[in-house]
Amino acid sequence: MPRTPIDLPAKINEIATHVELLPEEAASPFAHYNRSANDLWTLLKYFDRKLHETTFRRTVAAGHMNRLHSMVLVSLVESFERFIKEIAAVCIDHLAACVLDDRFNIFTVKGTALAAHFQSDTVGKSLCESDTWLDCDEINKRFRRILASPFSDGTFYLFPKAGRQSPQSEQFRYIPLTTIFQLRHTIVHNVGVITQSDAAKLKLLTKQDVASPRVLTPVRDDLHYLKRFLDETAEKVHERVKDRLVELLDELLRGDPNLFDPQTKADAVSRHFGASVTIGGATGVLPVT
Amino acid sequence: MPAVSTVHVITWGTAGGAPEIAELAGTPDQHPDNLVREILGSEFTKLPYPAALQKADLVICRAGGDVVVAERDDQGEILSVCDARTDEIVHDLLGNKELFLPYFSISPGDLATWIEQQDEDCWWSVDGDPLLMGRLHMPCPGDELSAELRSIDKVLFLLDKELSVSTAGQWKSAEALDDLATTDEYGFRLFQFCWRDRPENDWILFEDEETSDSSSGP
Repeated sequence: MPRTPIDLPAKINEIATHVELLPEEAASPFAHYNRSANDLWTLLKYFDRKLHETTFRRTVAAGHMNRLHSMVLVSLVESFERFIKEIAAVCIDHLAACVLDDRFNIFTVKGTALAAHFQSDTVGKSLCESDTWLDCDEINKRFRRILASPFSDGTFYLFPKAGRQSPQSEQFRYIPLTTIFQLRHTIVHNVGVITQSDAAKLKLLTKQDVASPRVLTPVRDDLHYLKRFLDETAEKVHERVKDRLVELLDELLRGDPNLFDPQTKADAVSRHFGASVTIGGATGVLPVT
Repeated sequence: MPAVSTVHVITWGTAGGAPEIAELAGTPDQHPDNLVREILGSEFTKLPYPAALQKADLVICRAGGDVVVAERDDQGEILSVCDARTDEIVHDLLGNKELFLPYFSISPGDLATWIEQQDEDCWWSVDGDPLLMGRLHMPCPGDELSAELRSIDKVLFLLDKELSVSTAGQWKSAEALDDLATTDEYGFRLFQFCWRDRPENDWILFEDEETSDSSSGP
């Protein structure tokens, strides 16, 4: 039977209209990350329960579960990427009206992208959203500049490399995070096939033989450990960025006591980070849960 | 597949309030879009069945926006439950009625106490609650969950697994939770809650045994 003709381009357009409101916790990058990452974990558990209830063919189910694991891995990494991007945007929003140097030149926003953000989004979002945040060196470079003291290059490294970058206690995250970004790349761009060049990079990063061509099939414990690593990294990032932003705002306020109202700023920063902070002697008040 | 002749809607009015049971007009087959055929064609889990509804072949319950459809077999046992939260057909059938399932009341502090009394190697996950899922990394050990629960000044509603018609928001203590837990197909404990100020948003707390071993480290 011939297929009924359908206006497929119109159907594609419709996809963009099938939307939901953002969850409440989206106002705080860390809570937003937690919610999304937890949703992905409970999605797996939900399907475990559902599969157990059915008499579905186990081999078929196992094949689908492998694919679901890969999809969840990618979504976990992308939740983390969005968290990094959102927390950078929050920092820029709090600093934009307080600094005169060229720190924001680290971003390469084109006019058309900026115009698209002009009506509703913040300065931070307009600068951060057009770039990807999936490279530790690039992320380091951006945060170092965003959170630098006025007219300096900055010394804040979000994911410090072994060697000269500090703090030393955080250096252990650089390689595993780079490996995670590479695994994501393999799944997203090669549908999970480890190509020869992927294998070469993974071999260098993990210091072990990685076969190619092979299809990556992450198991449940892989996802559990990956999520736990990203969760703990997000928590540390959240804490370090908050502390550095508060330190920088304090420094700016000391240079010009009329730069902003400390209480208003402390309240706003507290709200974005979900924790009370003190700026210029004023302690931020959190909204009641 | 048993023949379905009647469809009953169970209505709890407000959370924990007295239930009302009403028979829908017409036979299920007359409802739009073959609702019943849709439901009976799927695979479902078992659900305790309220004694007051033994005569119904099909029961539709709604807790806020969460609609479930339960089917009964020849012996009166529940065969299946369909989570019809997003099912427009079921929504059309129920109209704008505000229906709630029967809940007990419990303080988050009492739930925290119960969690602390469990094996310390036991980990937990929450599915569906924006509040806890925005604050914790799931799965999490009991002490992290209980500390977070103690910081929340709200009342929890716990779904009565028996769906008893006499359940109307009675307060329960930590000691009662052993008996109020249900178990999933793997034998892990599971509770269905909602916050009193958000009855439309049901969520579950479950024992995340699968990761307990690996979470404890080598």
